[in-house]
Amino acid sequence: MKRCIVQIIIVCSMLLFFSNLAEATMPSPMKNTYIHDFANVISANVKEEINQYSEQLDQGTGAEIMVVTVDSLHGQEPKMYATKLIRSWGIGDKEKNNGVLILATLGQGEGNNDVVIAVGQGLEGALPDGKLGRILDNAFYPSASAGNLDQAFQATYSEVFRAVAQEYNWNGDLPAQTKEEDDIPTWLIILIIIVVIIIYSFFSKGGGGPRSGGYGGYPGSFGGGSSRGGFGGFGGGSSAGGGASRKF
Amino acid sequence: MKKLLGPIGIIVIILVVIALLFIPKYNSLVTAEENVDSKWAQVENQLQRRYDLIPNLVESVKGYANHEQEVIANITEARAQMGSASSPEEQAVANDALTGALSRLLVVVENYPNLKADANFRQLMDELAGTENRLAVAREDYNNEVQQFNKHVKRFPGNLMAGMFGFEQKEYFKATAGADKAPSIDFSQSGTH
Repeated sequence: MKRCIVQIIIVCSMLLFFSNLAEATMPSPMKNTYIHDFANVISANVKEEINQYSEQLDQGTGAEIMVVTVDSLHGQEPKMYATKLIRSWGIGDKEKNNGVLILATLGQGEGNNDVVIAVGQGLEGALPDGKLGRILDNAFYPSASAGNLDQAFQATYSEVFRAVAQEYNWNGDLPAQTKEEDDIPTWLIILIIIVVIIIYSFFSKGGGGPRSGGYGGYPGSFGGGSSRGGFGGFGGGSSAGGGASRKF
Repeated sequence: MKKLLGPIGIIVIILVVIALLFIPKYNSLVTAEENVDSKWAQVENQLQRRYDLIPNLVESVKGYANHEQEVIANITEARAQMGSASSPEEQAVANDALTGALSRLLVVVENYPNLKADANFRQLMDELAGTENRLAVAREDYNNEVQQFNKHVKRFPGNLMAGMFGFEQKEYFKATAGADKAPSIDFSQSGTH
């Protein structure tokens, strides 16, 4: 009986291990960045530049342009992989589905590497497949095949950026910051919360502490102010599978 | 009075319980069916788009490789077959036939560098490849919804409801093994033109 249990545990842990391996083929996103250079091929200043542009664009229009490099797609179809990445990370706004993903592999050997630009439905008009293919041909391929990846990503990115900015008639202005929320000092917020908790526990009879349900509203009411402060997460955007890909 | 209320009260309670059990189930069946239908609409959109792109593609191939009659005829035939298919299963079969014909075209195209470099042809191939991917995504979404719906229909008490209100299990949009991969286009050689 004991042996049986041990065997079950071993089988279960192996299943867990392998399911983790399967999951691991899709990288997880980091916070506060629009560029995930897992293959480590883009130089720091280009990264910073792309990051800044994407952040401003996100704040100005809600559209998110993400650059991702990986070593390999483990044999998956590039456009499908990119679509799934947009969906699982939620790139772009949830309502507008206006995310763009520039994804390249670098570890599959020359001529076998994939580069994809995938878009959410919201930007399929600004970036139709044919145009994306042209961008890859004209902006990405020449530099990438010559080994200049910085240049390739920069040129591709700026083409995509221009198309998205144009779609939203966005000229680089950031929306006016809503100052009121920033003016409330943190200590005052904490004080209010403490007072509310005290009042709550005072009125709830039996001294059993406040019901947890009573606080459901609080974190949300401050969330509105903090979401402006840089890229803290993903908009929840989706994609219907639009995009173009090339080998290089 | 007490004797009369007893059985009636029990019946009322049973009816209320049944209603409480079945109304949400019925509603979730309706919702699941709506989801299947809306995803199917997406699949049909992409099939239609693919269908519409083929004539342009055939034209631009003819411009460079007119004597590849067999490949061109295959594609035209597969397209016609797709036009006459109606049920999801028929459409999936026709769609696979078209995928096969297109991948044979891609092999042939390798022999025509001018065609490969043609801007119009490249754009068409990009649109087509994008459509293949959209179709693959739409198909997956549709099949997932069908799975959800069929689960509702098969399980208790959904199966009773389904029988009563005429919900039937939905067909999957199934591709044969190996045909579910969109043809990938390798333009790398002509990228330096």
